[in-house]
Amino acid sequence: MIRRLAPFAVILALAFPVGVNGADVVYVDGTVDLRFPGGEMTEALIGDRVRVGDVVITGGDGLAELVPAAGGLIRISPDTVFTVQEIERGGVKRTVLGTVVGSAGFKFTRFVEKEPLLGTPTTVAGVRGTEVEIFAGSDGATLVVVHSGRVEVEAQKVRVSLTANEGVEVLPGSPPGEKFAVLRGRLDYSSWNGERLARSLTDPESAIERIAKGLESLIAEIESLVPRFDESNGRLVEADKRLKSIEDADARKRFYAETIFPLEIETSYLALNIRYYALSALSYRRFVLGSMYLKIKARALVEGSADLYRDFFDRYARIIARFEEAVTPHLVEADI
Amino acid sequence: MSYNAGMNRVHGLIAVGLAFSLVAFVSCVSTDTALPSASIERTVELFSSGTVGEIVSIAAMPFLFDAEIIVRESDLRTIVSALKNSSIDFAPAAITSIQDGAEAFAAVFGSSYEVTVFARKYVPDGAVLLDFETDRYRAAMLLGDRIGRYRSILALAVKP
Repeated sequence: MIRRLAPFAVILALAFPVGVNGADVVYVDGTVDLRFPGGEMTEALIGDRVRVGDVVITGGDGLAELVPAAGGLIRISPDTVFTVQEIERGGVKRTVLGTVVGSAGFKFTRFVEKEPLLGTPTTVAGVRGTEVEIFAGSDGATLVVVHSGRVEVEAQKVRVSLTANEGVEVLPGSPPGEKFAVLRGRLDYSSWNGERLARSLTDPESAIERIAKGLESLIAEIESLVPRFDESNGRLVEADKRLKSIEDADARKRFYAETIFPLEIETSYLALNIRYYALSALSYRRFVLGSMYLKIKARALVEGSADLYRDFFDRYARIIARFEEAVTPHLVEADI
Repeated sequence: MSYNAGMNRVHGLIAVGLAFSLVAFVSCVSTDTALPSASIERTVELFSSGTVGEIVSIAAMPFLFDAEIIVRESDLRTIVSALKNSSIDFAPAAITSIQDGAEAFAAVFGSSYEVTVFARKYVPDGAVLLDFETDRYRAAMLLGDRIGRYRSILALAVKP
């Protein structure tokens, strides 16, 4: 399928220049790596530009600050995986600044372009003149805490609006929970994630069920988009045939502008969104499911008790099989 | 002895010699051998007796553990630390076979899309796969190019 999408990706790039996207690295401390879309990794340095498709990975001692092209400041905490992706929302291409695991703080005070969206693999938040922290837990849970401005948190097509000193937790594959009052500095990532991780390690079967639910929610998005893409692409192919049969040059131009170009945009946006969810699923599979697998395997190795975790490993194998079937057809070698 | 007969004899000896060389080469590259090179032995010794930090310093990134591609050092430390605290003996004496890494890769790490791409992108020619047999687990270690006195560690797999 990806091969079929390639021409539309080019059209999209021409129609919507990517100059407004990306963020400049303005501060690094400790171990901070930059992973490019082709899979190459390099040490992040001040002055580097983080572009769409790049991933910033901070080590346990690492800290990075980025200034997005649209203005503001992003502070990426230690042991965090941070992504820059794109999605279509409301007929417009939007940048999504994603915290896959770990935590990041965002401060947006002015915008020269449309505000970016903030997200974790299973949650998206729209911001406006905002200072906000996003925690992405080892078990796939998300916590959004707003310090100033307004944030719309969306998961499973349910929206919750947060204002200053409010927070909301989102479990993987579930809509946002009840919002709650929270004061600056009263919640920190390590204690929030530490509690969640401890619960997951105590009951790994429940943890992996929650993780599976999160992955299924991303697969559901892909599976709802693929038939729409096929239908739109089919109409495009038919329209293209019709265009070739039109002999009058003016009529051809008109047909292209009125029929083909809108179809190209529609099809390429559908392709963009399939890629967005496929890459989100890959991040989630690698940094949430994969990381949990490593923790449980480590425990089994140290205890010499793989049999105790048989249910976890069986479920893990089934999730991997599902990922292989539903997500990998939408990935390319460069994603790995 | 005629010139031709002499040449035939020389060719015959060369052919036998080449055949022995080929058998010896093939046995070194793709079948079990009890003679790991010094860099392989040093790497295994480091894994057995070195610190987690020393092991991580010669591990490649991305790294493969079972079918999981690791790109975070914290994840790698988690698994290396667990292996060091487990009952698995990674000493050179515990090596049961040394095989060509590319050939033996899929049998150990599987053939999922991600793992197959990992092999294609990150496993160099000349990589070797070491097998370790212990009482409870079968473990494998994939080694790549040399880093000073050691080989880089590309991947590990542990199965009950």
